[in-house]
Amino acid sequence: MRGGASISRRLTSAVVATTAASLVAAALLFVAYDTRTGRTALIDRSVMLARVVGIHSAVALAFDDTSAAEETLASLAAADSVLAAAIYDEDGRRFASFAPKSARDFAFPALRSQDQLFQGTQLHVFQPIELKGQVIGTLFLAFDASPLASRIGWYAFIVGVVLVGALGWSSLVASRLHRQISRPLAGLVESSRAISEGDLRVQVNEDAGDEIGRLARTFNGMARGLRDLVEQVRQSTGAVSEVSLALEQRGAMLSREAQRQGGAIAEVTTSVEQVGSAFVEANAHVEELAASSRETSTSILEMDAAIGEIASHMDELTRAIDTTSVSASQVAANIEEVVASVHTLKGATEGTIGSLSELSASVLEVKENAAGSLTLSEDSSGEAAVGRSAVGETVDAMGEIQSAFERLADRVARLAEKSQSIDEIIQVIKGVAQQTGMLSLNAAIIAAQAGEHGRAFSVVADQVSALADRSHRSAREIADLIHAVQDDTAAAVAAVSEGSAKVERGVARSRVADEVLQKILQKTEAQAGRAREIASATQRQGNDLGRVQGAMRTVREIVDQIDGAAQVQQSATAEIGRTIGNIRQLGVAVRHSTEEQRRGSRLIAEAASRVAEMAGQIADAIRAQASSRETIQHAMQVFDGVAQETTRGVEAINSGVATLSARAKQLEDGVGRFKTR
Amino acid sequence: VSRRTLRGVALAACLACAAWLVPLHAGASQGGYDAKAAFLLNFARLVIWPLAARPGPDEPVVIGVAGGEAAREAIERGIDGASVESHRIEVRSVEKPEQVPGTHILFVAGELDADAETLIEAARGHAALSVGESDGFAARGGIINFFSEGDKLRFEINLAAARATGLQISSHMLGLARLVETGE
Repeated sequence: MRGGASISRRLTSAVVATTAASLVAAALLFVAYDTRTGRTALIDRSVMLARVVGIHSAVALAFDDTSAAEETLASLAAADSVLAAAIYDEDGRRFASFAPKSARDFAFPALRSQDQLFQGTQLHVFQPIELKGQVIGTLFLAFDASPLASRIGWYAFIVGVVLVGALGWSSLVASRLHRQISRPLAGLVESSRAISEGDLRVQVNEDAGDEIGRLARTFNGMARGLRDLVEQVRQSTGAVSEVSLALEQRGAMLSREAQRQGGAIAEVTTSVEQVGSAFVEANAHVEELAASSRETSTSILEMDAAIGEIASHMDELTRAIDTTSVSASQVAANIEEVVASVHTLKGATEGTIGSLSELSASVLEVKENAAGSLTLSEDSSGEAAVGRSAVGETVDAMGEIQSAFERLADRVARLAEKSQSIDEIIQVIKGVAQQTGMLSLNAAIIAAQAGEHGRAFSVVADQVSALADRSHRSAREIADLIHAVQDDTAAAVAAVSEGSAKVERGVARSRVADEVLQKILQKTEAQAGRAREIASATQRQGNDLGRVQGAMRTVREIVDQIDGAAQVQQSATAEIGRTIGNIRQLGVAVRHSTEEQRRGSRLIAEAASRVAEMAGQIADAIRAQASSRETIQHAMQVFDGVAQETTRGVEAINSGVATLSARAKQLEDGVGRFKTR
Repeated sequence: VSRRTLRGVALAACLACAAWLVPLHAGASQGGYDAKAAFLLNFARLVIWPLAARPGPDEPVVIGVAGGEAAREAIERGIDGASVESHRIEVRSVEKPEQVPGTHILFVAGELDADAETLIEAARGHAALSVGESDGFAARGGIINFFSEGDKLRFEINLAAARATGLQISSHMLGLARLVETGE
């Protein structure tokens, strides 16, 4: 037990030191991990809050509404850890800011790009504000990170306390375990050492109920068994020693005789056996050679068949390559057609785009024409309305004219009647004038008869006659006048009735004109409506055409891409054609070499079968020799059998005696070593 | 693109200051149109048109401007070649209801008159977002109307008119707007 205590102390201290080192390392890692996790969690929370606030203040920034932005920022008062917040516009000016009462004089930093950085016990977060994917400013948030620091401090303190406690407890447990395990083990070790030195009297304490107690009980049982065995052996050893000594002397004599005889026979037998085994070996080698030649021959024939198969496969491959080559040329031809088609398509696309541009221009023209036609329709509609009112007025005026004509006709009729009565008056006047003329003639005759006295009267009669003439002439003139007036009146009546008829026709025509104008007006309005529809349809058509043009531009790009791809494919197909030609040449070369290999393998197979035949001949020769050898061997075996039996008997006796005497000697020595009493 | 927009807003602010300092200067409306052009761009980003009226992949977003060539030029200057997602912006003049089909946003510059009201009707029929800048525009059937609040440009939204036209307006945008109803 030299130095045992110091070793166990060293073990205990090593265990404690290892535990302490791993605990310290674990504690450091825990604190580092927790610091990192805490920081990451704080940054994640802060960035999330910044994103949410950024989304909510983007529109206020876009509409330059500082008060709305500050209202959004003020909602951050609900988050205790927020020290200050600000929104910077795109030029880096502070657009809006927020600081709770506890941080009124917060010093806002200059604008940075997207970033999160710890400044002492604060976390500063800069988050870009985006509106529909465009950065329009930056949100700044300052967070209080001191709870994180104090949390980490507490964590380190708890880890330290756990470390010290664990160290104390582990050293205590280690020393107790040492006492409980190593002390009984040391007793067992000491007892084992005593048994190995031959002291079988030892006995260990077997009171403990655990594994060590069971070990101690087993150990004591083993020691007891050993003690009993050694006692029995010690008793029989003496008798054995005496018998063996006598046998030894007789055996030595027999042994010498047998050894001489046995040595001679053994030499002869050994020589014969060596020859025999050599023949057997040679025979075996020859048979192996024959077998392997046959195998070689078979294998070569199989190989020949395989080569034949390869050759037929090569033929198939060559045919397949020819087919592939033909297909490749067809593909090449098809691709050339595709390229040509793509060129045609490209031309057609260009043409379509040109036509679309023309169509677009013509649609514009139609649009302008529709607008012009709409204006014209509206103008003609207005004019038709004016015309219609004019026609109305005309119809009214015609009516008035008609009634005036009717009144005129009445008057003229009345005038004609009155002319008639004037005519009658004139007839009366004419009659009076004739009678007056007759009277004046009579008076002139009477006056001439009276002579001188009637001269004055004749003067009166002359004047009366003249008066009657003048009256008659006047009456005639008046009658002429009246006739003229009557004629005129009749003409006027005719004219008036004709005018009246014309006026009626005019009124009727005006009404027709009015209806026609009304129809024109309706049609013009319908036309204007249609023109408006055409204008809006043209607008839609223009929009559709714009989309079609865009689509055709896309088609042109796609056709360009197809063209490029087809050209690439064309060159690749040419390359494939060349490669297939190369493969075909290689196939032909392989076919030739396969034929050569086949010829060579046939030659080898023939040689191998010749070798097998020769090996058969050799084996026959060996078998002939072996039969004569077996006769000698049989005689020797009979002879040897007798000698061997003698020798075996002597040797058995001899070796048994030798063993016996050696064992007896060993036993005596061994048993002498043990102390059992 | 949005750098340009902000530059446009900044330019608009400078012009507004210049207009305030020199009252006779006629740039007030010009500057106003720069900011309004930037807002119209943002409307184009935040409004979802019904599927039939949405521009195709290669088609532009069309802003029709009613109220004269000068207003159209001012808006086009304010847009300054900007684009919305993959769509470029086309600014065209609209004077008659027949010109409304094909426009996505109809901006009625100046005061609201009878012609403008027929344009609003046409815009509703063709799923175009009608935007105005006169008092009562939104209350009389227009969807969005600009107004000033202090030195800031703000807008009001007639949500019922937007729904009747089939347009979806971003809730963020509604949050910034003053909401009005037809006939208010």
